[in-house]
Amino acid sequence: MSSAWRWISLSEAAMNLLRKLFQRAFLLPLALLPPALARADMVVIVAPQCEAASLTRREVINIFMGRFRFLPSGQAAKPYDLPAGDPRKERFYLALTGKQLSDIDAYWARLIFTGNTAPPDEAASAEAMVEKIARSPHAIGYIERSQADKRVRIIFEPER
Amino acid sequence: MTRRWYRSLLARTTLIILGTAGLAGLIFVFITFQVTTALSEERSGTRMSQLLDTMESSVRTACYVGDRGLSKDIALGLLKNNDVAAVKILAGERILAEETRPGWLSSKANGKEATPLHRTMLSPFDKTEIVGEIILTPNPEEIRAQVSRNTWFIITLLGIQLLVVAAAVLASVLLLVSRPIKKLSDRLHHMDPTRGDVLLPPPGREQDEIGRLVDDINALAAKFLDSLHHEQAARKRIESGEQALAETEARYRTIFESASDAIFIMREGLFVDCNESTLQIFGCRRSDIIGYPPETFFPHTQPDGSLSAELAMARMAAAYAGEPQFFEWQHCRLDGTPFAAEVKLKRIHLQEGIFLQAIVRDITARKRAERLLEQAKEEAEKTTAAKSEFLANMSHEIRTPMNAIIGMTELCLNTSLAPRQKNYLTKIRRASESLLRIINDILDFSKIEAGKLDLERVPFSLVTVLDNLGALFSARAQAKGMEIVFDVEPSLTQTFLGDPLRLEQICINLMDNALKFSDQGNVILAIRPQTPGRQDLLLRFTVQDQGIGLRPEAQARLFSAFSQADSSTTRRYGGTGLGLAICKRLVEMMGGRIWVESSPGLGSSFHFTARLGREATNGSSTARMVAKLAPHALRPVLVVDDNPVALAVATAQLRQLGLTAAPHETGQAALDEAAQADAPDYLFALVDLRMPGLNGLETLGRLRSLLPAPYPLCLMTAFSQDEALLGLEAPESGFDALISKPTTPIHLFNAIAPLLGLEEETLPKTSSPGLDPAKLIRLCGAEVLLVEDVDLNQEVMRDMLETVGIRVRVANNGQEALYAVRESRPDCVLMDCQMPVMDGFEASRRLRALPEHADLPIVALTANALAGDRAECLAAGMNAHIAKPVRSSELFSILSHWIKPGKNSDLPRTPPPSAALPALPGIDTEAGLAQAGDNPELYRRLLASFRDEYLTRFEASFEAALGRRDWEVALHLAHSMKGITRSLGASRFGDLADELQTAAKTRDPREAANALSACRPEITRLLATLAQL
Repeated sequence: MSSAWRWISLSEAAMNLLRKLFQRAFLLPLALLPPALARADMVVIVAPQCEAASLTRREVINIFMGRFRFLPSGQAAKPYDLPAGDPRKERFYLALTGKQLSDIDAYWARLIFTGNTAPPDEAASAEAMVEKIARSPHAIGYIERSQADKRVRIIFEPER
Repeated sequence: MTRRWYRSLLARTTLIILGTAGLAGLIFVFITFQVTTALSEERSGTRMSQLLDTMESSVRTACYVGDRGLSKDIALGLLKNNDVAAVKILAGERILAEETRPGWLSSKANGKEATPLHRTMLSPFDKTEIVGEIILTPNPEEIRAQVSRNTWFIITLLGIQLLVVAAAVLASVLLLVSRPIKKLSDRLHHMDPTRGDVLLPPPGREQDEIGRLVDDINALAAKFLDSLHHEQAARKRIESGEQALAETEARYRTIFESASDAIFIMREGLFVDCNESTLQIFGCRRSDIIGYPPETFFPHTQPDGSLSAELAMARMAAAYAGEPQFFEWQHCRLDGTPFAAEVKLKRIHLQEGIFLQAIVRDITARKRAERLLEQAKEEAEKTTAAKSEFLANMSHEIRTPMNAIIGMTELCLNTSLAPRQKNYLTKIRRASESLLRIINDILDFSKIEAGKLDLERVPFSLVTVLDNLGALFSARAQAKGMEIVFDVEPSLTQTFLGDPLRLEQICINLMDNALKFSDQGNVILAIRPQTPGRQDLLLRFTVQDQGIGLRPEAQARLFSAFSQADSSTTRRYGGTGLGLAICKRLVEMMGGRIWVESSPGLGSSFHFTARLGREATNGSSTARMVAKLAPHALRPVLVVDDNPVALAVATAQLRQLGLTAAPHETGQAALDEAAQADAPDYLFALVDLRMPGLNGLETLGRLRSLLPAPYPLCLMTAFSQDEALLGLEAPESGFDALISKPTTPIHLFNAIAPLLGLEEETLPKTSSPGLDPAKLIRLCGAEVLLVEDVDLNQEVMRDMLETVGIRVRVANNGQEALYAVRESRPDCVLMDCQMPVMDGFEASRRLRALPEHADLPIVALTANALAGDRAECLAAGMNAHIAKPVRSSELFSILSHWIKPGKNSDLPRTPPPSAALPALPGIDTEAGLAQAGDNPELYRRLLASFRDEYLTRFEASFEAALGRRDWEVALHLAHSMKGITRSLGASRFGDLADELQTAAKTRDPREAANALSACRPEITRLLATLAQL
């Protein structure tokens, strides 16, 4: 009887192994897609009077993904998103985290329903984004490089 | 007998089965529990791991953001699974959520906490950054519940199985074993084997274990029955035996008590029991002995000085060890008086253990008798020794005067005497010689009785013995008109090993008796081989006469010492009565026996047997002779002899030579046969000389004239005068050979061989012929040292030696002899053996010790026939031995052998002849005198001796030799005659003797006879010349 049970547990372990192998085979190529494939450069901008000179990608992700809402200097940081459906939002998150926007959305969905953390506030448009940032030294957002002007300072280029 | 229920086979089987199965089930359940628990924990862990997999992205998110709300939500969700007891979510050090199942804490207090599942959470955006951790604690309640479910299921299954198996086993035990056994047991209860009841197995169970059990029980019952019968019989026997035992015990007790020997039993060195004799022998009461050690009855030491206690301990220990002891022992009685005893110690096994039994016999009386016997024996031996000593001394004492008597007589006879004086002296000599013979007989007998007579073992020929016997007795036989016949098996010509002198002595004794006790007829000596052995041959000798014979009662004591046929014969015939006793002993020493067959008036036959050694020979001479005669074997031999015995012997001897004989008892009968036309062609004729009617010569003469081509004709004669008578006429009288009787085959052969052109057989050497005067002359001038203590003997010996011109020096004892030899060395020493100061043996040994005298001839003179052994003389270094009384012939013969010639040259000139020699024509006295050392007296004596010993006998001896065709003897006679006549100055006869020798060398009988004829006138003349001396 004991051997029969041993056989069952062994087959279960084998099934687990197979399952893991499948996951790897399908997920790995997606994760390795190069960000250079994106056509238009997305850049992270802050107000020129912002204390931080530059930010690392992890710092940017932490700020945008709701982990920390302040700069390394300790200054508070308030991220802004482009409206949902804007292709640039999708391009930005893909360049920054390597994940599809749907994943990002699912991520936020969990937090919104049961958690205390909220996603970045939305700017109405790219222009609005620029403005909001220019106005507040705590604001941080993203636009296409071409849309950046003197009001804002590019602090991180996720696609470089 | 009470039986407990649990003792029954059924109950015990049940208990064993249930117990064993229950125990096995318990172990099984325990193992199952353990395995199930381990498996449940593992499955629970797996399930939790899978649960986490599904929740992982949410947990990562919660940890990344550090969101407590989300964390709590996740934790509560996980707790909905029964496997999870507690959930803890951490972001770094910070606890985001910690939720537990209600009631779980109490079980945690049990300490039975399963290992929690930890999983590290990575950032959703950076796979390298750890953002938190989740810890899941499994729920032991759940695991326990599962385990108990599984375990109870298995216990239930096992219990059912156990019940079924137990029921089956119990049923079969009940059915197959228990019930049949119970039934058998019931039947056994009512069974009585003595009635012959037999147990029957249950039907159908004959072949299985029950059946075998029944068989075994039956066999056991039978055996039991058997032993029961035996026991009953044994009991009966024992009952009857006990009574017998009591009787036996009483009987043995009586024997024990009435035994004359002391019998007692000891244990551990103490007396336990003893019989009545013990008390008598030891002189004590029973209470003095029982419980005491045997040492009570020992003296302190034994006669040999050893300690009694020690010896006794050793003996008893040996007896205890199982070695029965038998020894003599000095005991003492209770009062201390010692007595000699013979003790037997033996270990005996009685019911109460091992005892030592001792049987003690008082041997005081026997000891005394033994001592007396020993003393008597010693005395007897002393007496015997004294007797032997006396005899030895007597021998010496008698021989010394005898020596003087015989010697002096002999010396006296050599002087010129009147015939009457000569007659007296001759009679004295004969008387003393017979006295000497008697003494010799007595001494021989003493020697034999003392066991001191040793037989020699030398090679010899029977022919020699027979020749000597013939020479000794033929004259006597002839004087009585009797004939001596040798009837010897021809195969006995070989060389034997033995003592010829003693053999001769026996024959002489018997033949002497035969001649003594008969006045007519023949004395026949027959020798026949008996059973041949590997190394030796038993010969039977028979001496047969036709004398007065012996009465049976005389025969019986004939061979015992000092006895004779009767007193009258003693008076008539004389004799010591020792001869036959000596013969008997000698024959016995030769491994034979002697007996007599006789009847009074019809003569006697003395038989004896003797075992003689056989010497390896190069073929039998008989075989050679037969082979040589073989070509002539077809022709018969004509034999004529009036004496039927001689005729038969001659016939037999011829037959032994391979020839056939035609015997006739009278010459006429032979002539009649030879005259017949169909007469056989005889090989030769053998005719006796003396026959009634036609004598031998006449018969031969007629035979010769009868035959156209005569065969050799031989004449036989037993009488030496006949030879002398016939000698010259031989060739003319018509016979070709003269054969002297008694004949032997070899003499017969040698006589006829030349006539048939055959080579003669060589005869064995005969004993040395008489003294050779040539040798005597050689002795002349030699110096002899005479060592002799008795004056009389000195004189005798000195005179005897001086007769032949020997210079004599005298020493009175051995000591003087040593001085004398040192002074000047003699040519020979004559050494008496028994002398004062220093005896002959010692003197000889001392002389031999000096290297320069190692080769000095020493001749012993012994008068002591007992002790004076020849071997002893030789051992002392002496060369030869002469027994006293000394005979001149023996003395000179031995001296001439030992004294080397060549001394004559430095002969001292003796003074001029004191007595002038008479004129001796035909003899050159001057030359002769010179040879005799210018001693006219010696010369005279030599001439006289030559006349008596040589000249008178020469012719007859030579003719006899010719008759026997004994050329060696003939040559020797001629040669010595030549030597002696020339030495004595009778050179004319010397030349004749030379011619005779030459003739003898040709071996032609006729030529030799012619040469002898030529000698005859000279012999006659010399005899006449020398007669005046």
